[in-house]
Amino acid sequence: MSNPPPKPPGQKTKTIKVSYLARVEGEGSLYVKTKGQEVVDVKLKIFEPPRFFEAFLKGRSFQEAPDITARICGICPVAYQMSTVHAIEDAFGLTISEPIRELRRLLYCGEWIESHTLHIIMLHAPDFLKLHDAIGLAKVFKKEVETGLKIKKAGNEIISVLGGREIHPINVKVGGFYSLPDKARFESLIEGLQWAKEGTYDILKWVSQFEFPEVTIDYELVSLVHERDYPFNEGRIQSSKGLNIPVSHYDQHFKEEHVPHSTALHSKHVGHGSYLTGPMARFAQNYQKMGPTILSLIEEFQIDPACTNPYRSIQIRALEVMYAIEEALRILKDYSDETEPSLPVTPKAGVGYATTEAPRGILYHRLDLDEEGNLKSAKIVPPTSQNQKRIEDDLRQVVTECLDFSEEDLTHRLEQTIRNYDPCISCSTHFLNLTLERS
Amino acid sequence: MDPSPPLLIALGNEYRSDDGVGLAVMTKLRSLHPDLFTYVHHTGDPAALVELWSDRDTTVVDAVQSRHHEPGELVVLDPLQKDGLPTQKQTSSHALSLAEALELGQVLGRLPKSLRVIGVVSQSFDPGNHLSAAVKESIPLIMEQVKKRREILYA
Repeated sequence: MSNPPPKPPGQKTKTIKVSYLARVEGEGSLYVKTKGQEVVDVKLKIFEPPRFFEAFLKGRSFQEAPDITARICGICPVAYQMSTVHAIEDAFGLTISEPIRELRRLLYCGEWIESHTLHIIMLHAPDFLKLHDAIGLAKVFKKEVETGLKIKKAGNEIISVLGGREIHPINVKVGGFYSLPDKARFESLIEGLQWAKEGTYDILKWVSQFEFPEVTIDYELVSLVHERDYPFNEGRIQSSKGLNIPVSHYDQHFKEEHVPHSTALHSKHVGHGSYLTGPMARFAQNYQKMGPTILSLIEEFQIDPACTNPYRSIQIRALEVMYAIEEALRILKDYSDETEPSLPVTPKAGVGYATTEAPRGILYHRLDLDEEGNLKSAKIVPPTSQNQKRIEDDLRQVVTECLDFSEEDLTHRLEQTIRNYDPCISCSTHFLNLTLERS
Repeated sequence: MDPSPPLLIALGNEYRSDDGVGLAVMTKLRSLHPDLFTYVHHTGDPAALVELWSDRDTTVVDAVQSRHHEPGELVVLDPLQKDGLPTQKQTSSHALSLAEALELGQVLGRLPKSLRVIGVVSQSFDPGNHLSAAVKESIPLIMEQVKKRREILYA
């Protein structure tokens, strides 16, 4: 998308209001104040009430925890379950078997496929095509929408088969799974995934033809980095500016703070400020591990792994969908009917830490348990909460660079900027009407 | 006659009080008449709905809010023929409403062959898996409406 022509001179004071920003999860508002060529204030106001999940967990058994945290989000429940079980297993000193590790990756593949595809097609693509919503998109790009829905279905099917149901899966437990489907049931997923692979190529090709606003942002990119695999459940937390820590050191390096305009806490990298977590960070720090198919696509579509243009995150999501499909197919092919669904679990008092890669970025858990495995305290830091300050910083830069835009174009650009993050405000605690004051 | 039975879709969250009425109706009806419908408890994900109901006779049972009706009353809508559905476009969410799912289905050419939406006016959506007395009392009437719909379809 090329930058629109400047608005005519002579308009000094402006107020723009958008009742709700559509195509994000949750509710809130955006306030932007400018004075001449200076951006005075940018606030991403999140006013949805806090949801108190950390308090709900206190006193509950470790066995209940993955089903409670899954309820934090209808889009990414697997992420919450995965961070929860890994944190508890860390506290108990339990190391899971390789087959269970693989199946947890499979479940996460399902979530990435469905969540990313939903965002690409239903939420983000309309921005690039100046269409109002997914229904408007479907009127013009019927084939692409149908393709997207079919890809999403392939992801949902994985969660349904392995997780017990599509939303808020019920088959995840500390130590593994309650039960496992037979090989035939798993094999029934393969045809849909093979189709989805072709469909995802078409979607990647389609989104790569979009016109992207020309913006470069100096991000600190934060993600898990695993020695061998593109990260889902394990790895060290690393950043593009030199951070390299085990997940248990998260609290020493990242602080949450309350800001008056948000019921979600803002996260900062101590001594550095805001940071970006999510697909762009994961991709920049791990793309070499995505395998030959993805590496050839990166070349074919000339995607720069070092790119820090946030609008291009739609391409990265499509690449991650392709990776998740390939990874799911690999795991399904290798699956053995003899896999034990879970390992025996012995509760132990202690503090456990975990960070996993939710579709929107790193999701941190610190869980403190007593000797019976009951939760004494919990700290959960969702990716949208971590990105919230970064979103404000992006908006500040975009407003600065687009001050001459018309009201309509600037509003559109700001909403698009927020949607680059696929924010899940119900996780962080929730979004948007926009007020822009110019003087 | 259509070779597959008509669809009965129960929408709603059984852990939010009256929002679980669709599932309660579906569970009871299925135990009495397992072959009467293809029974589906659904989250309302429009992409999945569009796929599910495409070209099928469909009945949806869902809890609704209304200032003009008493809890337990039924609001029966025929969105394809006349009534339409109220939209929730003003709420900002990943999830689209039933009305938007219908609109998406129309654009993609994946509408149900026929559709009845039985809205059960609800009293409470508080956390908890208990139906209010008024909604509970309406279950036999809802079941009757659903069965009647089946009879009309295959008369």
